[in-house]
Amino acid sequence: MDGNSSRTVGVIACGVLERELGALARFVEPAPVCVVLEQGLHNEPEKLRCELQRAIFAMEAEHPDVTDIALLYGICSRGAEGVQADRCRMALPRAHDCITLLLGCRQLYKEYVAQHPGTYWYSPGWIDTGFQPGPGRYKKKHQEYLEQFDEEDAEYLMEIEQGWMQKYNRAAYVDVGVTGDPEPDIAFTKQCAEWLGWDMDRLHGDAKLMQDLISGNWDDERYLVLQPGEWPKFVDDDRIVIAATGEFVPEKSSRSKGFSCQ
Amino acid sequence: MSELAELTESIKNGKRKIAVKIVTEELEKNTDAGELLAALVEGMDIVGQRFKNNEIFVPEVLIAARAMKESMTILEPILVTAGIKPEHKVVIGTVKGDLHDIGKNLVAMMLKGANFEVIDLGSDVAPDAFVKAAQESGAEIVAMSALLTTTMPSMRETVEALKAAGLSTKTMIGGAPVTRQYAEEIGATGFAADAATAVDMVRDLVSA
Repeated sequence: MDGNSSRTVGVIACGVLERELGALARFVEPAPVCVVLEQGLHNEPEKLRCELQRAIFAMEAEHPDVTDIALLYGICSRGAEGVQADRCRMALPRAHDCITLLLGCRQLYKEYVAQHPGTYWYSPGWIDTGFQPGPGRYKKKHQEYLEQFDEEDAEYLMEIEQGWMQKYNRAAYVDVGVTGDPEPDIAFTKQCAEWLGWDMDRLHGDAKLMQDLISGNWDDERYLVLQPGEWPKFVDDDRIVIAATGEFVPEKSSRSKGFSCQ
Repeated sequence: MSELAELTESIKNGKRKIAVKIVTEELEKNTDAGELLAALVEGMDIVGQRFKNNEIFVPEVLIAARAMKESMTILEPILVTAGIKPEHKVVIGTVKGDLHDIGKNLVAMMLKGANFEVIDLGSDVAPDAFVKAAQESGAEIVAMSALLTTTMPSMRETVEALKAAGLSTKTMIGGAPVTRQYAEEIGATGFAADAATAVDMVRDLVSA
């Protein structure tokens, strides 16, 4: 894209990146229109797709000045697959999920995870959810089970919960340096890691991928740029997403059994 | 309610102590072990259907599966003595790089509950480990799971490795980002959207 100031970017972002977006959008001219969707929609990919599609059409209808839509999302459990714009150009990063957006580079993410497969990620937005593995989550989940099951069954379910956490061995904290004092979040991650018996790593991410995305500086290497009517299709190679046309036929996944997009 | 119906009911509701008590008492009364097994399997089938219909969720299935597992611990030696054993074997695991095994464990438990022999390789299983287990066990099916799009390529690699090893083992895949279309694309035999469907799919594949 030419960075022509006659173009205005509309950003649709996941709530987990809201703080980063708020800080980065201040540097973009003209100011982008920003819409933030609830964090955690990827847990039900069909729901994410539905909400994202709704937000894209709303952006086009309510903001005639917006010419380009930037999705601050990865393919996110394939929940971003199949969405399209009617009028605007649209781009999303070639990313599996938000960790690439925070690290700023998908190759770096791939290499880190290959080197440390037992990594659980912590970031300002993820810590805000209040549900990252650690003593706080344990307490909440235990309470939830106690409301539904007797004590013995609740204990058993917590054993299973802790069982999968034991497969991890590392808490990696990443921020892009724009969300204020990181020390409380780093201390929180450290505390969780100690409680879980994991190592802790602190990574300095790179805001450039997000910054360029919301500024409309889109290249094909880092982003998938879609023309109106095209939609992102997941591919299991390093491109991560390719452009597709024609009808997108969603398949029901195990996570969205009861969901229908009305 | 008959004891067998009560046994089915106790599995359905995840009442492991009641289930174990009934199995123990019925064995003492020389009730046919095959009939007890059928009652247990029926209970897990109902659990599977309710899960599929969104009437219950993962925790309830885990509690029911525990009741099933503890009942089977008592029943299994008697079944072995009686010469009743699972007819079919399934190798299962999460693919290389993927540590998320709750879904896989659920499928494994429900397959055991449906009286399949399950060779559970755990999580983060390399393609050659799937191949080795399939060769050694002679399993008819290899079932793979992935929660992340980042680890889906390992499914393709595993399907290819099984074919390269000359095995005619059928393959089945599942997990949140996995679709039927992806199964077709990588040449897997089957796809299941949830644990209950996985059991139906295995039943279909072994009888095909």
